[in-house]
Amino acid sequence: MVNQKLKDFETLKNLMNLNIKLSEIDDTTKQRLIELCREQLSIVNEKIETTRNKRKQLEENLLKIRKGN
Amino acid sequence: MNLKERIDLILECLEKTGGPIIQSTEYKGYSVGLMLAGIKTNLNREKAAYPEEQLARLREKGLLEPKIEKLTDKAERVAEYVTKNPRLWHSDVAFKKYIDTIEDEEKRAEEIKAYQDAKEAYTYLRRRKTEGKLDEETSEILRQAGVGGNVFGYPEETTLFAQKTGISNREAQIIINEFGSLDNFRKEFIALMLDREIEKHIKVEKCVEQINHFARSQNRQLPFIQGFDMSQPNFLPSKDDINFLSILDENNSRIYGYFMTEERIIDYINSLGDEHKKVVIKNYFGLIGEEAHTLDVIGKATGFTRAAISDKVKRIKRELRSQRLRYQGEITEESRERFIERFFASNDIFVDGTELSQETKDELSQIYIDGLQAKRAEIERAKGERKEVYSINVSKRLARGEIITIDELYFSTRTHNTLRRAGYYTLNKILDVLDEEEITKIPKLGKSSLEEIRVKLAELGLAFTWETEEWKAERAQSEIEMQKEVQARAREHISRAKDGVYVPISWLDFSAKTREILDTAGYYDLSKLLAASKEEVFKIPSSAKIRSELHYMGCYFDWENKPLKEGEEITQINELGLETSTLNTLVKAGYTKIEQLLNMKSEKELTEIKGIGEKALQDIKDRMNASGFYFQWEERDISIPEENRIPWLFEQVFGDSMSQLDIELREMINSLILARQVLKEEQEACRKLGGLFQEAKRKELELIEKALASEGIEL
Repeated sequence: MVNQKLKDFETLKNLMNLNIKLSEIDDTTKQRLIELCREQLSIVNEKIETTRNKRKQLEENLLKIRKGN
Repeated sequence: MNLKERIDLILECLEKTGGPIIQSTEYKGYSVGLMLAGIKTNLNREKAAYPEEQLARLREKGLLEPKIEKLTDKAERVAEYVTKNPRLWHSDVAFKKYIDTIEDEEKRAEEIKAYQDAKEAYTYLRRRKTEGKLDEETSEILRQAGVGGNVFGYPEETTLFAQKTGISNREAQIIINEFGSLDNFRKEFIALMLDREIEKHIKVEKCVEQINHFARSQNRQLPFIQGFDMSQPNFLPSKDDINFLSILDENNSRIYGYFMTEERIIDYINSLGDEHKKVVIKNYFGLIGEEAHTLDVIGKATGFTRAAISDKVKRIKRELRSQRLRYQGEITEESRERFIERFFASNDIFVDGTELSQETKDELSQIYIDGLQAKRAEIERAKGERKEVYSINVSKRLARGEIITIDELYFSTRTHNTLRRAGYYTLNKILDVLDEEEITKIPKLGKSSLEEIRVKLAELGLAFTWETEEWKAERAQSEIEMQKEVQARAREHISRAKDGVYVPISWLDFSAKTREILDTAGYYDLSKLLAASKEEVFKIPSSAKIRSELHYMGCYFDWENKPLKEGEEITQINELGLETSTLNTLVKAGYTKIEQLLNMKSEKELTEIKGIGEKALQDIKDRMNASGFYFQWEERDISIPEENRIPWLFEQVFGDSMSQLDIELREMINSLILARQVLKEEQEACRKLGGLFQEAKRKELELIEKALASEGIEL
């Protein structure tokens, strides 16, 4: 039943909303979960990079302004 | 020696030697065996009155068992054994072999004892016979049993059989012994003969098949008759086969196969009253010294039209077929009985002149039928195996790049001809066809022919290229790439058209028909088309096609819903995939965004909308849940704060042994949580920096203003 439910999930959001114990998940679904996590991780990492770049730029700009003062 | 002394001696001998006492046994110079025998004979003949005390001593040791058996009983015992085991009785070698096959030792000992007893009795009786001391009744019993021919003579059955077949009595007896009885021999012999008949029958069937195959390959116009074919002038089976067929029926009208010989066709032609028919049949089939001609030629000669002649030919063919000129693979009951009768008339192995009982007849015919069927099945199986080998060979040859002609595939004549005329001479060319239309366009190649080719390919382990999975996948991939190309070409034009720049329709990859429609509707300009409202677009004929072509290019009207891109979240209700009626009622009630639905505080708000019943409610719920949305009022399984949700998954397992997969999953999720925390920190830092930056800018501006103000300049 749990695995049937997990078959349809598409985001981790759905997974979090399900009341599941790990022992109830079968191996193929675990594999899928791992893949899903990997995907999510890559998305989050991208976001981190973009925000980091943005922050660096802000810092530089700030420095410029302060130097100018 | 008196009786007591004699018995003392006998018992002493028995104690010392321990062995059995027989007539020739001697002990201390006395012939003890003879002494015992004398006592026994005297007792049997009641000549002496021995005291009972002394006799009891012998009885204790089991030496005085009375062995009184009548001669007739003895003879019957022997006869019984012989009739039961005739083979073992007459052949020592057979007996030894039989004994070796018995594994159980007790049983073996029993068998040996029975054999030895019978042999002992037989030697006794034979001696008496040679001495002339055996009465006729006893010797008759032994003669009938066929115990031993030289002394007792042979049974009547054997002598008759020997006379009839011209072999010696002894040989006849050997045959009977070998098979147990004459009846058994008959059965075996008949079975053997039947087996040979089956072989012959199968041979005839095969012969007919080969002939038909040959005739088909010659593509002659003569009518095929099921099983036999008259198109082949020398199609008759070999003489033996004909004999076999004719053995079955006195009048020589074949029961197994009615088939057409050229003579019979000629007979048929001569019996025709219609002269025109005669001419047609002679000329069309090329019989009686005539050559085969085409319908045109015959038509010119006879003055009939081509259609009329073909009609006549058809009718003649039908008549020929209706004359029961059919090969009958099955054997009727009548023919079977006649077969059995004739068979035994020609192979007379019955010497007593009695007729076969119905039971035996049935049994024999059953043997024949079963054998025939088994043989056929065997041949079919062999054929199947050969087919497999053939298919493997074909695929190997294809892999090697060899060319395989369609002649090797044995299509039906029609399919073969249609393919040949269209220029498809090889299997390789058929496999090169990438589109179903190309094959179906071949004139006169319809559904059934297509199916025939498909089945033939499947037999060889192949398929039409357009039906293989690989080709489908390749095709799908190439289509995606094509779409990408089209979209790349169109992107620039579309962006310019959206800015209001003039872009002619002909620059884009519309189909000719769509372009025409757009031209006639007055939309020469893409910018004009994209600026059109929903109602205006719907007024254009076949607007759906135009829209689908635009979508293919990646272009959407402003009033249209764009498809979701990866990572984008659903915000509109119509993206949920609801049923149209439900969607329409929601839109009419003013609900277009999912947020609106999520803000609802109770179920009532939704059910109060007109047209939303239980079904629609369930549909909305299901679709929302499937996309990861939940109503506020919906009861959910869990309510765990977000931070705790994923680690909680592992609470149950942490202490226990975890599998490799579990560990991997845990690490993945942990790293994901970590990454999310990092992202949060970064974003917060970014926000703070943004604030600082804004403040710094404002200060800078203030400073500049002050500086300018001090110089007397105002911004």
